[in-house]
Amino acid sequence: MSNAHRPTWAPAVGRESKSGSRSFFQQDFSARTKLKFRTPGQGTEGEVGTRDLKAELARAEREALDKKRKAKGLPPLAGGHEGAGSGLMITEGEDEQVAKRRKLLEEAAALDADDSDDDEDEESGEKAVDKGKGKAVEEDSANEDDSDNSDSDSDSDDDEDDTAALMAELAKIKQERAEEAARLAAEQADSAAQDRDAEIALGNPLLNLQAALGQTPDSPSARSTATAAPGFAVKRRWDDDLIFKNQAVGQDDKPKKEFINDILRSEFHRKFMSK
Amino acid sequence: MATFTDVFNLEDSAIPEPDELSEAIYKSTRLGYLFSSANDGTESQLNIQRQDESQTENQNEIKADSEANSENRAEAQELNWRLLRVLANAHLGWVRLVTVDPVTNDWFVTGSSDSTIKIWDLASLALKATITGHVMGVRALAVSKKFPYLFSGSEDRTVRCWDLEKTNSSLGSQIRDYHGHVGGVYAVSLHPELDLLVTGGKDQVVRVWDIRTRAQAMVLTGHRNDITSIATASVDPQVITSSMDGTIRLWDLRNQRSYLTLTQHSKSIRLMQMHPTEMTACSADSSGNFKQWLLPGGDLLNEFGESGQDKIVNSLAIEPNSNTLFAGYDDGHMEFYDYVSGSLVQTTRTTPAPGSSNSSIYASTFDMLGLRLLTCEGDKCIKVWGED
Repeated sequence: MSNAHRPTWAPAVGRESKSGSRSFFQQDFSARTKLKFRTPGQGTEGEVGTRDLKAELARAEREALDKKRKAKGLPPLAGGHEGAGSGLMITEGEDEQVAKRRKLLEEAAALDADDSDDDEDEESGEKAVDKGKGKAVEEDSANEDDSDNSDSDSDSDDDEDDTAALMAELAKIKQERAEEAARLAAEQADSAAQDRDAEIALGNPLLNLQAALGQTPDSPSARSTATAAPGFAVKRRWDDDLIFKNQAVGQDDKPKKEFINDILRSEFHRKFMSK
Repeated sequence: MATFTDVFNLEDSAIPEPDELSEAIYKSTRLGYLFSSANDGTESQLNIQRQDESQTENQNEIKADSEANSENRAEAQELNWRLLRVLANAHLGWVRLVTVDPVTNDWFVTGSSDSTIKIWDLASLALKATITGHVMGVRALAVSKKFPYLFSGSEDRTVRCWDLEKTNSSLGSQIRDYHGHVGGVYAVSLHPELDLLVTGGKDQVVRVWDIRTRAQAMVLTGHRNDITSIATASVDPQVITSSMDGTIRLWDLRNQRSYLTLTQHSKSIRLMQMHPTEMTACSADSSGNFKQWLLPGGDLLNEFGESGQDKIVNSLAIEPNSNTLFAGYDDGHMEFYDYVSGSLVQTTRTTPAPGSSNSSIYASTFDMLGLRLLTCEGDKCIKVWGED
């Protein structure tokens, strides 16, 4: 191992190599005589100029976050996307058309995200199915991203067609959402009616005295009072009149194990060094 | 009979024509800075005159001044960077370096004192590749804009070139090494236009390498102590170096010597960072003092920072869009400065990861868009900061 890390009074100082004859070894000659260049697809400066890096970063971060939440079993973050989108909204410098397109795309993406959210809520029981579906959804989203990229790359000729298709898609999604909302509203009304019936049946305390006093037979507090009720004598523990009770309870001779993020400060290393 | 001038044509193409445009830009920038400071000066002079006139007015003025200051502060406090994500245990040692891919903004590279280099996805913080090969801590990194190459310098005195297309190959991704340094390499920089690699470190010389042939094109001698940072530009001065001897040298690559030495720093310079778009640079010395320079003339534009305190600056990052200067300190302290005025805009601290008592910031960089700040720390974490 080199001793470059050791402190020295006078570290080695580089000098200009003396001119004159030099002998070269064969190993000195480069095996690689050509330089590779970044080719298109690897991120050259030309192709990156056409990309919307801000939107891409926002989308990629959102996707990463959603993936993480999915792994934890949480629904994807719908609001987070909107926040990020609003944070990254286009400034004055950009084209109005580009802005419009991006707004449309973001709206569609938001609607999609909401839809998947609802689906997951309904089908939380069927996990296997859900997983398969989740993959499919992911693939879909990946495909969409690809198409987005190619869209943004493509010329302005296709813009009109794309916008029309997008508008149609948007309308369809909106209709689906409306239907879903109507169904949910009906369900809610149903449950509200049921609640009202129950309230009418049991709500009057004069008709239902036991419930009003909180002495329903199911509740645990009621049961304990019921068992305590028959004799009025106070129950005492066997060690109630002792002065020193269970002295060793708080004492722990072993030091608490702490995670230490450094090998040199770790308990293992300390023990090892004290041997 | 042929004369000397006939044989050696003195109107040589190697002698560059005077660059009038850059000269004009330089002069206008300089004048702008001069006038901005001149305005401040006249105001203070007026203040002094009025002070002489009457005390009461003076007090009023002080009040007005403080109000103005508070307004300035309110403006400045709009900046609010906060911690978004933590990548815990990113490396096995201190994470000492970070560089974002300068073209796509998709990934970033970190180098560590555990002698590995790791490549991460910027959005998801997923590990893309681990590059091993150095036998001591990595101290310098540079990603090329033109080539799919990564250059690294290390305390083991080697400078290596890694092919980023081969990071998963079993043979390793190193394709070249640049042999010649007799001390650890602390700074690596790529020339933006020529295929030159500029390195420097503990052996007090700056070496210029031809990237392709690995030949040492030049050795630039002159510094009297370790070289801490190297910046390169496509126009003169093409190489700027800062050193622990307290000087910044601007190098004339054609003549292979320094044409200007800036000696205003009274302590050793820990860092120097060039502004990505302006021809200005900012340097920080070990007393916590920052100085801004206008290139190529080396005019001192501004100096700020609380000098005299034991603040050890470990990293500087400049965000060109909002002109924010970030300084990370050895005690985990973070400061955001306004690059133009040099006023302190925000101060925070990092929270050390569980298992570490303190966390010093060793490296930091803004991403290409200025939306994220990456800090690399002594608790082996990479932290991602964003603005509210």
